[in-house]
Amino acid sequence: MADNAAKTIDVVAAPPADSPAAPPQAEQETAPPSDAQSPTDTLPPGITADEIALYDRQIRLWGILAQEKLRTSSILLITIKALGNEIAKNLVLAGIGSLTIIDTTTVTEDDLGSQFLISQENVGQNRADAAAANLRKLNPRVPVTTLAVDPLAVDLSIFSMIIATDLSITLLNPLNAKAHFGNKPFYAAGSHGFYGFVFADLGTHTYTITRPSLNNHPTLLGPESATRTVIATSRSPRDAAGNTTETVTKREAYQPLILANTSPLPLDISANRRRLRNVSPLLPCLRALWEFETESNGLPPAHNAADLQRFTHLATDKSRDLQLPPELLQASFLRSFLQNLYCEISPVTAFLGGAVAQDVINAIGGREQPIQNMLLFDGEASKADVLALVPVVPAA
Amino acid sequence: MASQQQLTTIKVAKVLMVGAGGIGCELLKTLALSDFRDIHIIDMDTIEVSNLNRQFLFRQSHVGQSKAKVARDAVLKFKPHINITPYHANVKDPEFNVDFFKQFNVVLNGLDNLDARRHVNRLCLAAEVPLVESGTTGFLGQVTVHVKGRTECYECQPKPAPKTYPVCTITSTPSKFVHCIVWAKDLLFAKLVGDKNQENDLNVRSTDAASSSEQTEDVFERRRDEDIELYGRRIYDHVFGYNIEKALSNEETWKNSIRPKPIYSRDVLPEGLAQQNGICAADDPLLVSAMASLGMKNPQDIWSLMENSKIFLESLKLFFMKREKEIGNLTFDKDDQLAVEFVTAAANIRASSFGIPLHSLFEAKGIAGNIVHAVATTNAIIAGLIVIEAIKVLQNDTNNYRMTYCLEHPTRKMLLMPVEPFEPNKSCYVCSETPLTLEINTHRAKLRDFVEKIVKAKLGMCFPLIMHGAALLYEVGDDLDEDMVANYAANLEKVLSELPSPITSGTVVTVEDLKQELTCNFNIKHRVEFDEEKEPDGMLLSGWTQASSVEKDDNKSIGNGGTTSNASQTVPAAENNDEADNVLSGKKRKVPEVPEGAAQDCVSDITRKNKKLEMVDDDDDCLMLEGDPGICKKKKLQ
Repeated sequence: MADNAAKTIDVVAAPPADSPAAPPQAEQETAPPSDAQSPTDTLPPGITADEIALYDRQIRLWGILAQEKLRTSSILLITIKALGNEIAKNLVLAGIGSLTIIDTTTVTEDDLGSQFLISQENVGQNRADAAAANLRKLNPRVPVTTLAVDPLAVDLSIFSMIIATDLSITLLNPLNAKAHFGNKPFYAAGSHGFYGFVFADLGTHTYTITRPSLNNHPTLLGPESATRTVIATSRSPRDAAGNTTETVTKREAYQPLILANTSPLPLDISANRRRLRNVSPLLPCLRALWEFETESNGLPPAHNAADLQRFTHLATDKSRDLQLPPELLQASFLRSFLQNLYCEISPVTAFLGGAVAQDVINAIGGREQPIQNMLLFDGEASKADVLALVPVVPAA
Repeated sequence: MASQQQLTTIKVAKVLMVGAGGIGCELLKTLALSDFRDIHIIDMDTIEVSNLNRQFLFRQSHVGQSKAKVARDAVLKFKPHINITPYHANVKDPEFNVDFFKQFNVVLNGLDNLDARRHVNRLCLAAEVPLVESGTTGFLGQVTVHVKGRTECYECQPKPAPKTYPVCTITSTPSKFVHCIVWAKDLLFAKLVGDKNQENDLNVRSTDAASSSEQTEDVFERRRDEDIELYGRRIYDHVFGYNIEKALSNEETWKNSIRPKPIYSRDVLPEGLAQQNGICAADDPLLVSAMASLGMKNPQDIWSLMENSKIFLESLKLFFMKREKEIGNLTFDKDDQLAVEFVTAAANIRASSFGIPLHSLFEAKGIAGNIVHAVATTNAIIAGLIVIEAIKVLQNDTNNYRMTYCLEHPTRKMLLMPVEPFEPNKSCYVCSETPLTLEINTHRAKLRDFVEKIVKAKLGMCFPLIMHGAALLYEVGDDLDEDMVANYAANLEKVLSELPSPITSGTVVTVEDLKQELTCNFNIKHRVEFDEEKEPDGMLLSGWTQASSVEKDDNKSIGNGGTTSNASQTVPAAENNDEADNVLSGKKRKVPEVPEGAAQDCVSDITRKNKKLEMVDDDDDCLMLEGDPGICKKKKLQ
């Protein structure tokens, strides 16, 4: 497994940010990884005809090369509740190399009914063990192992990706820091009733996008946004109908959650009143929750007047720090958020689990734009917006 | 917001799910975990291997069993105390009538085809049950809400017709690989092993087709005691050699396009096929394989012309040796390995001839089977959104209904695009009573033409009843007596103006589908001339327009449809529609124009046939949201 993991790390973890960029011309000559359906794809040594039959519909979507990268990836999932169930199911179905689950709690009656990987007979067992048994049946090709240890004590080097769900900020921050400095892509996700978030810190991540070439001007090399740089482009020969496709290689630079949490809104939003009004009030609420937890040893606000008042103050402060219009944060929203802290409801975890797994799959495959860096889901409004929350002066 | 009231509404709700496939598995799980207690689920399909990468309620050992039943059992394992009622049946079966639909509080669609979607839409309208409709393709998907009288119905916006190609492009001037696939699948495969009585354009391409028609009839028949390899080579030389050479003799055709080169089997395979076929001992007809018998393993390889030629001959041979009983009745099926091998090889040989790049079996299978990309993640996302809308519908939370589009990747800074539902389209023939207008030659068109081309093909009715005033001209049903059946059969063959109650200009014809409880009125206008190119049916239906078809991208995943980061990013949802539609429908490409010389050729072909070849979706998880150009002009629901 260590071998596999090492191979994948090369693929997933991008070259260090400070490596000197090659001259553009040289970049163009070295063709970036070819696209999904490219006729030059050859069968990677590992994939069998049975696997092609099983994964037929998805290989048609992301290509055999991405499937091979998935096949050699090893993913660590921390905490497996309703959201963890969804993420694990999606990744195991997709055919990842291996899944390791850390969860030190035992299955209770309360878990039943919201988690499809466990049933009555699992009550009293370790939650990861109980879920793992069913995950193995879901796709016998994917080894699923469990660890009953403190996630902060785990050696991350053998994994190609870390996903943490349903944790307080007091665990998310040190985990994220550990992953970031170990050059491991990291996702955090959680849900609160009808609301949820996905945060990504992929370090320095390189990926390609293939698209029809609409005109004769290739995409320009260089910075595209505060976080994104175009590092190479190439173009396919014209087909019989005269169409060509352009393959663009881009690099995204990420920051850890602790920095994202003190960062302002992106300029294109903060400078535009209409866009500001469209920002989800979930953002100040999440920041308030995390600040509250930091101040109270990881405990969320309880349902007492003092905690609720303190939380409301924090949320108002965060909203002001973000320069959001005061009317954005409604009392009804605050109430709905507070009443359902860490509550998992199935439609929301289905959405978030799908969004996380899809981003993980694309990130491993090195294709498509990943989340940069905070996805906010509001199930009441069916909104899922992505905000790039980065410090104004990028950290070195 | 998961309030007590919400929970109560959910617990007492009775829900009908149509479809237990990609979306269905996710939906059934999410409904059960959301505490829905009474769920009915209809699906006519059985489980296949290629379902297992996303339909997570199914295991290898379930292959061949009913999706609805296995899904029910799987969900009851983790949620034992709820009621799930499975039906292994077609939703169009008569038992699922309006009364059946009326017992439900909401209907949730996870369907894979337009036909069934339209049918369910009509039953929901008739039964006045709200419908939540959905679809996915690759990373794209959508959920829409349809409540009679409040929002548009599923058919208020015309749906794109399946892609068709002009006959001449397929028979004489292919320019893309998909044209070769259509030729191999719908013409050559159908001619050699399909129904011999069906019309087939295979030989309609040469200028003197008429004079040699008698002779060409026999070419495709295997002669008595003819050696199977010699037969294969004779077919090979005829379609890839002789026919191309004959086409080349018509200089007009090639003025503006590259001349194809004839290919003969003796040049590609000078020696006979060796006896490699020892390996192939499979009893299951679907496991017989030319690749296996030739020792080729990788479906992703692109075969050389020689390899394609070997596969061509070997697969034809295997059809005659191992599956002789089926010959004459075969239709192309993407899960039939031998059929896919034959079509891949034939399409590639034709592509070589026309200088079109060759493709692997894996790619050819995707094009020939019109396979839709499908992944678990999108289905899970869409299932979550369906349940969210279903809860709003059950609470009658009208102001918060949303049509939600799941976008590809968050370059645009949003993963979802919620749009307020639109008002019903006042001219929708399904949910309003606006009459349609039909221009038709009442002295030449038969009642059968009207029934087949308009009532069934365009209106999607299954059990039509046609009336002119009080006179019943046609109906179908099990309870008709023989005289009536004979009478209606006779009417079908009559010209409209000569029916017992003549249909002429100004007549109003009423068509009803009793099962769908749908009634449409047609104002008939007599017209003599029709443009053969634009109106191949010889009639023109207006008052309801079918959107022009969007060409499916031949061999690129829709997932690659480009979004550029410098495109406008934060236009509010409603204004963003047209752009999103582009994203959602994949790339729109112009069909390359047929060279002038060839076009003249075509006209003569088309006058004979007036027929277009069709590619029809038949896979699950298919998306129905392509092209919706009118969407941004419509009024929002207040």
